[in-house]
Amino acid sequence: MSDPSLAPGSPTAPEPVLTVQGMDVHRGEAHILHDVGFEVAPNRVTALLGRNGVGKTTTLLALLGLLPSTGRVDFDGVPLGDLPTHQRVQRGIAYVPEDREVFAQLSVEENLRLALHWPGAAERLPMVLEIFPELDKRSAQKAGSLSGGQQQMLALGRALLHPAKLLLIDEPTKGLAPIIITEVIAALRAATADATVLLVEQNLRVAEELATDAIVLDEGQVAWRGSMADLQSDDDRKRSLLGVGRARRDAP
Amino acid sequence: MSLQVFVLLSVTGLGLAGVYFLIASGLSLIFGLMDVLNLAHGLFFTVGSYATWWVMTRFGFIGSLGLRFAVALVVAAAMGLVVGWATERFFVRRFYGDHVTQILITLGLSLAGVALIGGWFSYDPRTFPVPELFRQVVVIAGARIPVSRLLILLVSVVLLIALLTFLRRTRHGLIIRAGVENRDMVQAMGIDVARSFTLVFAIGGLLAAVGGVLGGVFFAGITPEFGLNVLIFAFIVVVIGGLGSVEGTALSAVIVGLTQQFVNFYAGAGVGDLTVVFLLAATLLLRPQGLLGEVAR
Repeated sequence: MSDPSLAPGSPTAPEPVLTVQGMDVHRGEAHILHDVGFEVAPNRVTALLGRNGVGKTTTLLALLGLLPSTGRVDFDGVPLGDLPTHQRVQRGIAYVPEDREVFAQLSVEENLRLALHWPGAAERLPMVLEIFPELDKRSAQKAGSLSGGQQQMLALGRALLHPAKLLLIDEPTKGLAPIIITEVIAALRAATADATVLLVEQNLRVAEELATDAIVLDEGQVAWRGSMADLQSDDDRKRSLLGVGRARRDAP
Repeated sequence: MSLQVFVLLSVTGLGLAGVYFLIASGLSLIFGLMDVLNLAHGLFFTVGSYATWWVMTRFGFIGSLGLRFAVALVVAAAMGLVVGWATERFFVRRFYGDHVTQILITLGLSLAGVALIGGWFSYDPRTFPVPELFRQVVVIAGARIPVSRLLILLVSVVLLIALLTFLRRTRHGLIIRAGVENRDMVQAMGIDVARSFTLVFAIGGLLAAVGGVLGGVFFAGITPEFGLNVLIFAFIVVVIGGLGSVEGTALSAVIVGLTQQFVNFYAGAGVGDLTVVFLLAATLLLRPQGLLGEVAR
């Protein structure tokens, strides 16, 4: 996984799963994304980082066709064009939304049953319930009555029933207690081993734990792309793009 | 209040509630799932009542009025299904997300429907013959209850159970319930939610048309504006019950039906209708999401 020859852009790099070129998104009057372009390499976790409101979630929604966008998106070597959301997802994109968005009025079992239409989903269900044993215990409970962490497990479990080629995960640790975050990270690690993931994360520590590649957005544009390790060791860049990291001048 | 009057008003109010439920349940599901305020829903109801009139007066070759009424019920339900399906397929589908156009187009359909039915069958009120059984009375706690009232109640309850069973036990029902909560997320799970839109319109059309059949029996007469008049109360029922909630719609229909009957009887004709509007206002002020609705919209 950390083999440098697999880094995107290197001559021996495998074909990217997702290629985005010149993507622009408007929401009402606001011009959110400007000429965004990046690639997601197979079998690794790519973190999409940036301060609040730079357009990370917007990028995922546009990829899913839930927001209109211009530009070109190639998935698995084929342009997605104007495909509606459900057809994009059917091509092999699974989605774990910000704020979980589980169906609160449906039971845990019904939430999972909605995803059982995927080929092989019934065979994957025991694997999902093994990663998230809480979901099995609480299968009759209404999803709306689950804790935040449990809802996140359900949102992830639901996505994992889909034998997808790309997993889009939006802020899986948002609003969760630190101890739960540790649990979610462990679950994510188990669930995403060898999977291709585009991970939006506000919490840099979580991104550092999970991702090998990083894309940083700033003011609706791609400000930086590279390996997570490079970003991690560059405090100046972290501070200027993400507003985090030690300020060296403050050090004694 | 004598017991007899209480029982009679209760059964009559529940019969009215059944009619309201049948037209309001589809309306509520359509709004809950698609955010479409379907002003053509009254037309589905009127289509059902005129289909019944047509079968009851033209199908003389079926000697038994009871059998003829059963045929009328099936024909009305089928016509409601087709009209509901066609409304979504040919008119509403092009304008999802465009609320003003949807309101205008369904209002236009509704008015065109009234004119078409009026031109075809005349604007005069029509009555249709009903089976002898409907006119018989049963005595409950001293009150003489027409069998037709009980029958209306029975058909409504059977359809309520059928609808809930469909929503809870089938995959289509599961997708509809999930879609009422969060349409985008259903699509993001690779499910073509638009197919459910057509289905919900067809089911809504069927239920409203059966409501039209029972309404024709309940009010002992039909006019081309019949559905439009009932639609106003159906909207009130939907808002009080909570948008998208079938159980809420049923509960709210009972409250509205009983309130109307009792207040109209004791406080004077028309006061009951006004009271229902006050119930609506109180709901909007105190519990804007409706009795069993989850989210205020």
